[in-house]
Amino acid sequence: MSSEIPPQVQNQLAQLQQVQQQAQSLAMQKNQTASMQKESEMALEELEKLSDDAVVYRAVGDLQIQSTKEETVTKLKERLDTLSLRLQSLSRQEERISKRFTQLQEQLQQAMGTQGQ
Amino acid sequence: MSEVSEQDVRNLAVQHRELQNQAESLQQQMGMVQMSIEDCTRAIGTLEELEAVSGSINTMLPLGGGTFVHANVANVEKVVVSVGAGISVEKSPAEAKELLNQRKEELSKVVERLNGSIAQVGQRIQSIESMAGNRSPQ
Repeated sequence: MSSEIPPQVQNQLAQLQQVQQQAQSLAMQKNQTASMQKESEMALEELEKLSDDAVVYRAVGDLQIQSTKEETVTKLKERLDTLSLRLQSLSRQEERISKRFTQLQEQLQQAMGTQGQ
Repeated sequence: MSEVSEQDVRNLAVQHRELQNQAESLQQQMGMVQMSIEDCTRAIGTLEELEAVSGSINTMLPLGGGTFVHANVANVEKVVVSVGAGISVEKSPAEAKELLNQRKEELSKVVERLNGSIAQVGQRIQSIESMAGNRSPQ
Protein backbone atom coordinates (compact mmCIF):
# COMPACT_ATOMS: atom_id res chain seq x y z
CA MET A 1 0.00 0.00 0.00
CA SER A 2 2.65 2.51 1.09
CA SER A 3 4.81 1.65 -1.93
CA GLU A 4 2.09 3.24 -4.11
CA ILE A 5 2.41 6.59 -2.34
CA PRO A 6 5.03 8.80 -3.99
CA PRO A 7 7.95 9.78 -1.71
CA GLN A 8 7.01 13.46 -1.89
CA VAL A 9 3.53 12.78 -0.54
CA GLN A 10 4.95 10.44 2.12
CA ASN A 11 7.24 13.23 3.20
CA GLN A 12 4.36 15.71 3.39
CA LEU A 13 2.30 13.22 5.34
CA ALA A 14 5.12 12.77 7.85
CA GLN A 15 5.42 16.55 8.18
CA LEU A 16 1.69 16.85 8.73
CA GLN A 17 1.83 14.26 11.51
CA GLN A 18 4.76 16.06 13.10
CA VAL A 19 2.92 19.38 12.99
CA GLN A 20 -0.14 17.72 14.49
CA GLN A 21 1.96 16.37 17.37
CA GLN A 22 3.45 19.81 17.92
CA ALA A 23 -0.04 21.30 18.01
CA GLN A 24 -1.15 18.71 20.56
CA SER A 25 1.85 19.34 22.77
CA LEU A 26 1.27 23.11 22.53
CA ALA A 27 -2.37 22.70 23.46
CA MET A 28 -1.32 20.64 26.49
CA GLN A 29 1.22 23.25 27.60
CA LYS A 30 -1.38 25.96 27.15
CA ASN A 31 -3.89 24.05 29.28
CA GLN A 32 -1.32 23.50 32.01
CA THR A 33 -0.28 27.15 32.01
CA ALA A 34 -3.90 28.30 32.05
CA SER A 35 -4.70 26.08 35.02
CA MET A 36 -1.59 27.32 36.86
CA GLN A 37 -2.79 30.86 36.17
CA LYS A 38 -6.24 30.04 37.50
CA GLU A 39 -4.73 28.46 40.63
CA SER A 40 -2.54 31.51 41.28
CA GLU A 41 -5.51 33.84 40.77
CA MET A 42 -7.55 31.88 43.30
CA ALA A 43 -4.67 31.87 45.79
CA LEU A 44 -4.30 35.62 45.35
CA GLU A 45 -8.02 36.11 45.88
CA GLU A 46 -7.79 34.11 49.11
CA LEU A 47 -4.75 36.12 50.27
CA GLU A 48 -6.45 39.46 49.62
CA LYS A 49 -9.16 38.49 52.12
CA LEU A 50 -6.57 38.18 54.95
CA SER A 51 -5.55 40.86 57.38
CA ASP A 52 -2.14 42.44 56.73
CA ASP A 53 -0.49 40.70 59.69
CA ALA A 54 -1.70 37.22 58.67
CA VAL A 55 0.81 34.37 58.85
CA VAL A 56 1.44 32.94 55.40
CA TYR A 57 3.65 30.04 54.31
CA ARG A 58 5.20 29.59 50.91
CA ALA A 59 6.30 26.20 49.60
CA VAL A 60 9.97 26.19 48.61
CA GLY A 61 10.68 22.68 47.41
CA ASP A 62 9.61 20.38 50.24
CA LEU A 63 9.78 23.13 52.82
CA GLN A 64 7.14 25.59 53.96
CA ILE A 65 8.76 28.94 54.61
CA GLN A 66 6.96 31.50 56.75
CA SER A 67 6.32 34.73 54.92
CA THR A 68 4.17 37.83 55.08
CA LYS A 69 1.01 38.60 53.16
CA GLU A 70 2.70 41.52 51.36
CA GLU A 71 5.69 39.52 50.18
CA THR A 72 3.54 36.60 49.05
CA VAL A 73 1.12 38.85 47.16
CA THR A 74 4.06 40.49 45.33
CA LYS A 75 5.51 37.11 44.43
CA LEU A 76 2.14 35.81 43.24
CA LYS A 77 1.59 38.86 41.06
CA GLU A 78 5.04 38.39 39.50
CA ARG A 79 4.16 34.78 38.86
CA LEU A 80 0.86 35.76 37.26
CA ASP A 81 2.69 38.19 34.94
CA THR A 82 5.12 35.46 33.88
CA LEU A 83 2.28 33.01 33.30
CA SER A 84 0.29 35.47 31.22
CA LEU A 85 3.36 36.20 29.06
CA ARG A 86 3.92 32.49 28.60
CA LEU A 87 0.27 32.04 27.61
CA GLN A 88 0.57 34.80 25.02
CA SER A 89 3.66 33.25 23.52
CA LEU A 90 2.02 29.81 23.46
CA SER A 91 -1.02 31.25 21.69
CA ARG A 92 1.19 32.84 19.04
CA GLN A 93 3.02 29.55 18.52
CA GLU A 94 -0.33 27.77 18.29
CA GLU A 95 -1.49 30.17 15.59
CA ARG A 96 1.68 29.63 13.58
CA ILE A 97 1.41 25.85 13.89
CA SER A 98 -2.24 25.85 12.90
CA LYS A 99 -1.45 27.90 9.77
CA ARG A 100 1.36 25.49 8.91
CA PHE A 101 -1.07 22.59 9.40
CA THR A 102 -3.68 24.06 7.02
CA GLN A 103 -0.95 24.82 4.48
CA LEU A 104 0.40 21.27 4.58
CA GLN A 105 -3.12 19.84 4.45
CA GLU A 106 -3.90 21.83 1.30
CA GLN A 107 -0.63 20.80 -0.32
CA LEU A 108 -1.34 17.20 0.50
CA GLN A 109 -4.89 17.36 -0.85
CA GLN A 110 -3.58 18.88 -4.07
CA ALA A 111 -0.92 16.20 -4.40
CA MET A 112 -3.48 13.44 -3.78
CA GLY A 113 -5.89 15.09 -6.23
CA THR A 114 -3.38 15.23 -9.05
CA GLN A 115 -2.30 11.70 -8.27
CA GLY A 116 -5.87 10.44 -8.41
CA GLN A 117 -6.47 11.82 -11.89
CA MET B 1 -30.13 2.22 6.64
CA SER B 2 -28.50 -0.22 4.26
CA GLU B 3 -27.15 2.84 2.43
CA VAL B 4 -24.46 3.23 5.08
CA SER B 5 -21.19 2.87 3.24
CA GLU B 6 -18.02 1.13 4.36
CA GLN B 7 -16.39 4.52 4.86
CA ASP B 8 -19.25 5.67 7.12
CA VAL B 9 -18.89 2.56 9.22
CA ARG B 10 -15.18 3.16 9.59
CA ASN B 11 -15.80 6.79 10.58
CA LEU B 12 -18.38 5.71 13.13
CA ALA B 13 -15.98 3.16 14.59
CA VAL B 14 -13.30 5.86 14.98
CA GLN B 15 -15.82 8.21 16.59
CA HIS B 16 -16.97 5.43 18.90
CA ARG B 17 -13.40 4.79 20.06
CA GLU B 18 -12.75 8.48 20.61
CA LEU B 19 -15.94 8.89 22.61
CA GLN B 20 -15.05 5.89 24.74
CA ASN B 21 -11.64 7.41 25.49
CA GLN B 22 -13.36 10.66 26.35
CA ALA B 23 -15.79 8.88 28.67
CA GLU B 24 -12.91 7.10 30.39
CA SER B 25 -11.01 10.33 30.93
CA LEU B 26 -14.15 12.00 32.31
CA GLN B 27 -14.65 9.09 34.71
CA GLN B 28 -11.06 9.46 35.87
CA GLN B 29 -11.55 13.16 36.47
CA MET B 30 -14.73 12.38 38.37
CA GLY B 31 -12.85 9.90 40.57
CA MET B 32 -10.22 12.51 41.37
CA VAL B 33 -12.79 15.19 42.20
CA GLN B 34 -14.70 12.78 44.42
CA MET B 35 -11.49 11.88 46.22
CA SER B 36 -10.85 15.59 46.85
CA ILE B 37 -14.37 15.96 48.27
CA GLU B 38 -13.78 13.01 50.61
CA ASP B 39 -10.45 14.53 51.62
CA CYS B 40 -12.20 17.81 52.51
CA THR B 41 -14.89 15.95 54.47
CA ARG B 42 -12.23 14.08 56.45
CA ALA B 43 -10.36 17.29 57.21
CA ILE B 44 -13.59 18.99 58.33
CA GLY B 45 -14.27 16.05 60.66
CA THR B 46 -10.80 16.35 62.18
CA LEU B 47 -11.19 20.12 62.61
CA GLU B 48 -14.49 19.56 64.41
CA GLU B 49 -12.77 17.14 66.78
CA LEU B 50 -10.04 19.72 67.38
CA GLU B 51 -12.59 22.37 68.25
CA ALA B 52 -13.84 20.17 71.06
CA VAL B 53 -10.35 19.94 72.56
CA SER B 54 -8.79 22.60 74.74
CA GLY B 55 -5.07 22.86 75.38
CA SER B 56 -2.59 20.40 73.92
CA ILE B 57 -3.16 16.95 72.42
CA ASN B 58 -1.06 13.84 72.61
CA THR B 59 -1.00 12.30 69.19
CA MET B 60 1.18 10.38 66.75
CA LEU B 61 2.94 11.67 63.67
CA PRO B 62 3.02 9.33 60.67
CA LEU B 63 6.54 8.57 59.40
CA GLY B 64 5.25 6.37 56.57
CA GLY B 65 5.17 2.61 56.27
CA GLY B 66 2.69 2.44 59.14
CA THR B 67 5.28 3.82 61.58
CA PHE B 68 4.53 6.64 63.99
CA VAL B 69 6.35 8.82 66.47
CA HIS B 70 4.69 10.30 69.54
CA ALA B 71 3.95 13.99 69.23
CA ASN B 72 2.39 16.71 71.22
CA VAL B 73 0.23 19.25 69.40
CA ALA B 74 0.95 22.40 71.37
CA ASN B 75 -1.52 24.68 69.66
CA VAL B 76 -4.92 23.72 68.31
CA GLU B 77 -6.13 27.30 67.98
CA LYS B 78 -4.34 27.78 64.65
CA VAL B 79 -4.18 25.46 61.66
CA VAL B 80 -2.49 25.97 58.29
CA VAL B 81 -4.58 25.56 55.13
CA SER B 82 -3.27 25.39 51.59
CA VAL B 83 -4.86 27.89 49.19
CA GLY B 84 -3.11 26.59 46.09
CA ALA B 85 -0.05 27.72 44.10
CA GLY B 86 2.19 26.47 46.94
CA ILE B 87 0.79 28.96 49.41
CA SER B 88 -0.62 28.09 52.82
CA VAL B 89 -2.36 30.36 55.26
CA GLU B 90 -2.72 30.23 59.03
CA LYS B 91 -6.36 30.18 60.12
CA SER B 92 -8.53 29.34 63.09
CA PRO B 93 -10.16 25.89 62.88
CA ALA B 94 -13.56 27.56 62.26
CA GLU B 95 -12.17 29.64 59.35
CA ALA B 96 -10.44 26.59 57.95
CA LYS B 97 -13.70 24.66 58.11
CA GLU B 98 -15.49 27.44 56.24
CA LEU B 99 -12.84 27.41 53.52
CA LEU B 100 -13.04 23.63 53.18
CA ASN B 101 -16.84 23.76 52.99
CA GLN B 102 -16.62 26.35 50.20
CA ARG B 103 -14.12 24.12 48.42
CA LYS B 104 -16.48 21.17 48.77
CA GLU B 105 -19.32 23.19 47.26
CA GLU B 106 -17.19 24.17 44.28
CA LEU B 107 -16.10 20.57 43.81
CA SER B 108 -19.74 19.43 43.95
CA LYS B 109 -20.49 21.82 41.09
CA VAL B 110 -17.63 20.23 39.15
CA VAL B 111 -19.17 16.81 39.84
CA GLU B 112 -22.49 18.02 38.40
CA ARG B 113 -20.77 19.38 35.28
CA LEU B 114 -18.82 16.16 34.83
CA ASN B 115 -21.99 14.11 35.28
CA GLY B 116 -23.61 16.15 32.51
CA SER B 117 -20.65 15.60 30.18
CA ILE B 118 -20.52 11.88 30.97
CA ALA B 119 -24.26 11.56 30.20
CA GLN B 120 -23.82 13.44 26.90
CA VAL B 121 -20.89 11.27 25.81
CA GLY B 122 -22.84 8.17 26.86
CA GLN B 123 -25.79 9.21 24.70
CA ARG B 124 -23.57 9.76 21.69
CA ILE B 125 -21.95 6.34 22.22
CA GLN B 126 -25.40 4.74 22.44
CA SER B 127 -26.64 6.46 19.31
CA ILE B 128 -23.62 5.18 17.38
CA GLU B 129 -24.17 1.70 18.78
CA SER B 130 -27.84 1.70 17.80
CA MET B 131 -26.92 2.93 14.31
CA ALA B 132 -24.44 0.07 13.99
CA GLY B 133 -27.01 -2.35 15.42
CA ASN B 134 -29.65 -1.29 12.86
CA ARG B 135 -27.32 -2.00 10.00
CA SER B 136 -28.17 -5.43 8.67
CA PRO B 137 -25.24 -7.83 8.63
CA GLN B 138 -23.94 -8.46 5.14
